[in-house]
Amino acid sequence: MSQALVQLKNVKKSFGPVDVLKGVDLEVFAGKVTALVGDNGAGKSTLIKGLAGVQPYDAGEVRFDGELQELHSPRQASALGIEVVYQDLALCENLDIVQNMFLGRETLKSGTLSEAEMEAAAARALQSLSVKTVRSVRQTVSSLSGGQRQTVAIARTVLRDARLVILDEPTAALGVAQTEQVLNLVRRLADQGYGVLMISHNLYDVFKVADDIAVLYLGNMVAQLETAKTTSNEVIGYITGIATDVKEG
Amino acid sequence: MLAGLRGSNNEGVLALVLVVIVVAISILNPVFFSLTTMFSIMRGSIVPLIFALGVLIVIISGGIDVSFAAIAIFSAYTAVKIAQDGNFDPGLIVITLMAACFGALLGLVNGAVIANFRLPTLIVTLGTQGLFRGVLIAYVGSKYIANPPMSLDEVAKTNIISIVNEQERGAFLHVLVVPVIILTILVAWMLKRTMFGRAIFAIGGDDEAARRAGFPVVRIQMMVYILVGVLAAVAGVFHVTLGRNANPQDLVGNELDVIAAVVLGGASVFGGRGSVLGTVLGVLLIQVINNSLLLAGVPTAWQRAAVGVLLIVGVGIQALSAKRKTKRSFVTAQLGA
Ligand SMILES: Nc1ncnc2c1ncn2[C@@H]1O[C@H](COP(=O)(O)OP(=O)(O)OP(=O)(O)O)[C@@H](O)[C@H]1O
Ligand SMILES: [Mg+2]
Repeated sequence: MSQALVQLKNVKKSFGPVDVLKGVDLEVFAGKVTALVGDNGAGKSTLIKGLAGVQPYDAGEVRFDGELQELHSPRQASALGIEVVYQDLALCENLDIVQNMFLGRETLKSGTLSEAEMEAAAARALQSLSVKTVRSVRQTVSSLSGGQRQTVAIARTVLRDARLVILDEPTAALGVAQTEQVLNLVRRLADQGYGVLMISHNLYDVFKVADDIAVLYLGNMVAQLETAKTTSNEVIGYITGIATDVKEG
Repeated sequence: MLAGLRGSNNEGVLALVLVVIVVAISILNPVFFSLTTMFSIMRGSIVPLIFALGVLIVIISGGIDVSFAAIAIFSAYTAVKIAQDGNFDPGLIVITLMAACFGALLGLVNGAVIANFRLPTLIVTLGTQGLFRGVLIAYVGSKYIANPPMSLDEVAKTNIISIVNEQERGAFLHVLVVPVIILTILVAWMLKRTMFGRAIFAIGGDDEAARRAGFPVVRIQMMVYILVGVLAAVAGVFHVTLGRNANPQDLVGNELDVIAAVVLGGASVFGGRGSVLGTVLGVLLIQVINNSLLLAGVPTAWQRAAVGVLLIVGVGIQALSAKRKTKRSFVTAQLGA
């Protein structure tokens, strides 16, 4: 089997006396969608915040491309090519699509913003993901639908030369058609070689796009399954803890 | 196309309102429609416009600064007093630079408190307004300086355009209009074309998103308040120059005109929106209204009331359109689904 893009080994994190991650292993592969599932409070968000460098792990190993890495800041994560799309998307509604896609990484020409260049690059990035749902890249985000916003947030990671795109419940607030759109986009992302780690509570979504399913239960990684070789009943068993004897502590 | 004319912040609408008001007043009172009035409105706009540029920047960044007038008079009065006490006359430029340093310092006080303690900007600047004013009067001086440095007086008497015609009313365009135009262009360029400007819009739109995008939010907020302080100081020196006296009791209390102008100019009180063009139009509008009410013999108390009403109307329009927008995006989400 090929080498994992990201490999976590025995990763731990506590908040005071509360152990949220109790030694978690996880592998994410380039070109694959790995779904991260688990009940509320299982530690999914905490796990990805560590990968994003926002809340570094207390202990454990992080390998990226097989190399041991320290992730202590979002900058470090971003430099490796780890980009996160948070549930709240972190878009500025008052700015347009181009401005949001380049936010914080604006193209400058002799010290001033190079709008034309950014516009072209943003349009290319959207095109590379076959996004056809936005009318103009100069629309402000406040005028976009939920699915379109999600699309912009995902396309932004591509523009930032992501190699691993982490999505926190990308379809949570979306209707049926828009969920479909976003899932297709997630699939295309993986098909183009990006590694995708997607948190989801919706098993239908998970079975639709994921190649692998990782299940967290009370801070333990209780299963990493291939979607093709499992059933939603089995996954539900792991999520609810029925299928495993979980070691406490 | 109509939307294009309207402008992204309703500048077109504002320009139209301005034209209509000018035409209406000119019909009622033909004396109003003259070069004399125009130049005097421009002269009257010098100080408020510089203030307004500062307020615009801070409003776009999602805050508000009501201490600018206190900073202005503190900085200008202190600079003039230093020159007077030291018996030297360094000229307008050096006095402005000195004042700008004080302005930067006071702006830094605002910025440090706001950015580091995450306190509401209105309350903080209301507090520092009192603080700056108190320190000025208690420690720097409370005396009215009737004879500021000669060099300022020279500038005060300089016009770039002087038209003296047969009528007794000549038309004079004051020289300080020039630096104000330059400042206005610089601020517009900064907001539109620089990374700093983009950061200000981003922070005003969603400071968390700006932080995650890698902008040093705290540092940028500090810089915003420092910049407001510097602009206020420049406005203060120009005010002292034009008025040919330095009065420590001056300026504070007239913040409403400036804030109303910026808000009418389309800057969103919720942050993230606003333009220099709109602000210029807003300042001109307030000046025209004040001027014409003056010409019509309306007492100053009513002028203030009129400006107050305009401010509320401006904010009301924003609140309404914000409401309409959320409704609209809800509808599109429904249609898309
Ligand atoms: N900063 C924090 N301080 C203290 N406890 C925290 C902190 N962040 C998370 N926790 C706790 O860690 C546990 C796991 O939280 P986490 O947000 O990772 O869960 P999750 O799997 O993402 O849940 P959900 O599905 O509800 O988003 C929860 O019990 C939560 O209360
Ligand atoms: Mg979560």
